[in-house]
Amino acid sequence: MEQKVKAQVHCLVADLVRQELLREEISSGKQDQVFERYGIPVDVRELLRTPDYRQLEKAGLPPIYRVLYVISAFPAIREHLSMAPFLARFEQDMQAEGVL
Amino acid sequence: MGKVVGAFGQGHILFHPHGAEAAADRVYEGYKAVGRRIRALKPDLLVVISGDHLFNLGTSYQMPYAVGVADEYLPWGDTDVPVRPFAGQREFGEGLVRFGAEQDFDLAKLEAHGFRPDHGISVPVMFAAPRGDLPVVPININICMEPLPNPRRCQALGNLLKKYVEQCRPVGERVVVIGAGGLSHWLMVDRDGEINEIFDRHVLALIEAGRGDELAEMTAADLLATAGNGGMETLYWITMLATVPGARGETIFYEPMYSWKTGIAATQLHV
Repeated sequence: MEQKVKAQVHCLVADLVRQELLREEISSGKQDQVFERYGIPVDVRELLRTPDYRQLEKAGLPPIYRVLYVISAFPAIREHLSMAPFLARFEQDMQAEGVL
Repeated sequence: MGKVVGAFGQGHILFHPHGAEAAADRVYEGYKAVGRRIRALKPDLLVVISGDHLFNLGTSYQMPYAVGVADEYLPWGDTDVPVRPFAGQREFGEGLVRFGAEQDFDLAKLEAHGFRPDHGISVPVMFAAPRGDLPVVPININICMEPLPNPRRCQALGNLLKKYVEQCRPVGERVVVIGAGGLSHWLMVDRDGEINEIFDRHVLALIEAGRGDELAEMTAADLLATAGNGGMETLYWITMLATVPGARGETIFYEPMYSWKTGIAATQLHV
């Protein structure tokens, strides 16, 4: 399931970058058509409707960065873009080297 | 006069290891090795050349080159970098901007109240100065704008930094410079996920041969086509290399990290 969601998000992102489609569609209230067209799952749709996304859109950030920001909040993606698995080891290693 | 006593090129991401555990481990250990080597040089100050990923510097105000001029920074915390404050050095940053103006190189200033370093700066700082007590001066090169910064101009910025350290800084001040980013990667564009291993190894070979300055002969368009939109981060390395002209590099590690969508490496320039 995780891979499927990633692939769908990837599809959305690639499309956004090529055409900046979502910006146009959202501003014209047709985003559901885009979601349907690409089979974007409901939870991702909800994410793209979050205030954070709207705020970024309002601030004029290019779609690539708005989407990166939003998908980073999506658990499967956020987990991938995280160094969390290394943090406990980092603390231990730095303590062992006497620098923490 | 001060001196650039060490220079390093390194990546600035550390993501989840799943699916590439052994390679991710080599990256982590490589970053640790860079940190140890930097601390062994006993620097008084660390200059980190990298880029903001539009967390701070959006599209409203775009400056190609900017210098941190704060006494302390708080990481943004993206990619789960620990949000621990680390020291800056206003005097160094302000002096570099002033020296640049005198040398016909205009640099913008970044104040801490509006600039919280993202992973581009804070990952290398985390490994080099885990306690946050080594003063850091961030230099931001903006690869999120058009026109893209020019490699020659980045080389000139590195030359400027070297001259500033040697001509304006206190006698005996020891400065280490890090260029933190890349190498090749394509993100969210048609070649998304590609890595140009040939380019990456060519960069490292040039640096090992003491010929890293040749990278500045590329145009921004060449670099974009060869290394990808993310590979424009090679500009951070080009800037760093110009602070230690002719120095030979030692490759600490190289990993084509396809699961992270980037070629990633570290090198030390022996001064």
